[in-house]
Amino acid sequence: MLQSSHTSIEKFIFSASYKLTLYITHIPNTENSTILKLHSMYSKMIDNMLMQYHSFNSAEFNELMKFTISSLRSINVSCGEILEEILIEASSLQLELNNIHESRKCDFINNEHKTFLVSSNLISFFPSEILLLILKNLSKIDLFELSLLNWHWSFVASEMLYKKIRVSFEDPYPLYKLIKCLKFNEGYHTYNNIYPSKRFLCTDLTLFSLLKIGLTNAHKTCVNILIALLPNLIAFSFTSSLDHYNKVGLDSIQLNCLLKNCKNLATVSLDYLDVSDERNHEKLLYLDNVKSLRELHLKQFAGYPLIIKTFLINSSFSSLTKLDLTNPGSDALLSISKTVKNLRAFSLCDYRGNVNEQEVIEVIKNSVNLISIRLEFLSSPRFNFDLVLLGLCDYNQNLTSITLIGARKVTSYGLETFFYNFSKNLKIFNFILFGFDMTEQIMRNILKKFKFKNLNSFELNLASQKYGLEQIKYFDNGSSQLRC
Amino acid sequence: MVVSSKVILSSSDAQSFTVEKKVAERSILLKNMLEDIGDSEEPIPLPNVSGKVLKKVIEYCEHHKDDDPAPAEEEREVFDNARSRNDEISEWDGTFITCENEELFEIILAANYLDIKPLLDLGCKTVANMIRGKNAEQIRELFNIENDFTPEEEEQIRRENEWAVDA
Repeated sequence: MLQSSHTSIEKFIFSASYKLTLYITHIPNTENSTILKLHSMYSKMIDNMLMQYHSFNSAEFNELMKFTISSLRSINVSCGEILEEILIEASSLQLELNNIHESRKCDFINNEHKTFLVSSNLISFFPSEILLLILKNLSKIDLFELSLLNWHWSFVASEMLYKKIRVSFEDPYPLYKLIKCLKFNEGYHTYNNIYPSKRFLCTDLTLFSLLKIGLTNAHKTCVNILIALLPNLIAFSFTSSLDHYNKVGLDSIQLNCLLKNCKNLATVSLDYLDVSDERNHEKLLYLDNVKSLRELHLKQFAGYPLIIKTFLINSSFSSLTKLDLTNPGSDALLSISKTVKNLRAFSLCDYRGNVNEQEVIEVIKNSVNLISIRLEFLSSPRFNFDLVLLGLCDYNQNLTSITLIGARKVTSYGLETFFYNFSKNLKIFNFILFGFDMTEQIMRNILKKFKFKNLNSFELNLASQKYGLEQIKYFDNGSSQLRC
Repeated sequence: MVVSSKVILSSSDAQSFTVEKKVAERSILLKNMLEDIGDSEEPIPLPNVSGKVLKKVIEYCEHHKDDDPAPAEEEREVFDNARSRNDEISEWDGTFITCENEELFEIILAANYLDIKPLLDLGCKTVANMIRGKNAEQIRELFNIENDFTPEEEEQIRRENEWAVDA
């Protein structure tokens, strides 16, 4: 088998297998036996690859390619874009392999290796399993020295060092098994405090099929490599603690790469976007090329609202069903409201007082399917929560969940009108009200007027300016009628 | 091509080598291939191995042709475990593998491709021995590796990993 083509073949096999899975999962009543057979063949090929450390059986692979092309052609690929993509990739890969065979470019492979030898970079030169064999012969102190060579080596040697300390080295392939384990677990993988020097053998392509990943305090270099290696991601989350702001981060260019590379990405959750390098600003953020995005969680506590605003204004959110924003900046929300049409859940925190109620109402107005809304600490003293409640009454009929935290200017009229429209279907009702100029008794009287037949979560905290920070939880005060 | 117990191997640069079947079968890849194709008049093409490297590989296989046969796939992990604990390289193997870096690396790749585990292991141990006992600067010089750390980053990595060395 052609060694130099392994990467393309691996990518193709994982990608085709994933797409076939998607096709079978997402196309209702898929009973086409050819597709199912094809899927089974790809799964088997992946199993073989993993068992044999990426060694391919060339005859088996050629058979698979022939079957893929002939069967997809016979099926009539117009039955699905996914199948058409596989067919195009398969044809292209077969052409590539044929070209190499036919022109007898065997020297090409050796020449390519010789090019690597010029820099004598063992990491680029050797497949990871060979590198592993070399490293497992070294002591901790040797691995420590290797980790100081450069960033690439730091990844590999530190990972080995880490495993050597943590795992009994009786097992010759701990790292391989770690990667294999990641590969088959489709849950979220969360890694804390990832530096390039820890946890990952990022030069390996075996993370290729990972679907979800969560990173905490990941170093930029690590993020870069991961993004390049994980084209099948459907969920990506990145968080960073305050004390790591200067060391780690996901910058706008990386975010852009992530969105471009991961065509199936459905969920993005970022609690910190590093925009400290202003030179990056012009190059960023074309979220509109991600048609698959369903959920976006974006938090920005540490400043730079301008970049978030640029991000939001330049993007298209037509497929989004869940939007969770913190400090989006003024006008950004107004821009989003024009592109969101399918939102079912909307959450907004604004600690800066930049958002006005009209922007929130625009989102509500354009999201007729909205069933959940959460607004927190909208700190502008001018922000009128009453108008939001009335906006919901005007433009929405489906709301079942509402959480208002730090709400101001809520009046008994606004509250009664809201309950009149939504009390019957309301499942979650959480209010922490500031500046609510009513006594507990008035509030209780309002609540008694309505039946909450579907309520299963209720919390009401009154932090009245007039009476100080007195908190009353109605469930604790015997308002049992709310449970009915 | 199988003439009695001989096999012809063809390298990427079209050099042909006639070897005993027993020698060729030190390679699991060739062993499986010979079992699959049976007797054949055709030379076996090895497009990933140059003539120069193939000659060295054959030299190794000829010397070790009477060794115990390579273990089956399911026994290999146990075999690898045992082998990884044995750091000794025999005198003949040590002399055989003493060559320029480029040639050594190509032998390792060829051993990997041809699935000759003892040779692969020998090559990897040799590279490890080249690294062993050297500091980062010496290793960089040996393999011509560019240092892309800033002094601060290098210090950070040093601090991060020191715990492991001290442990």
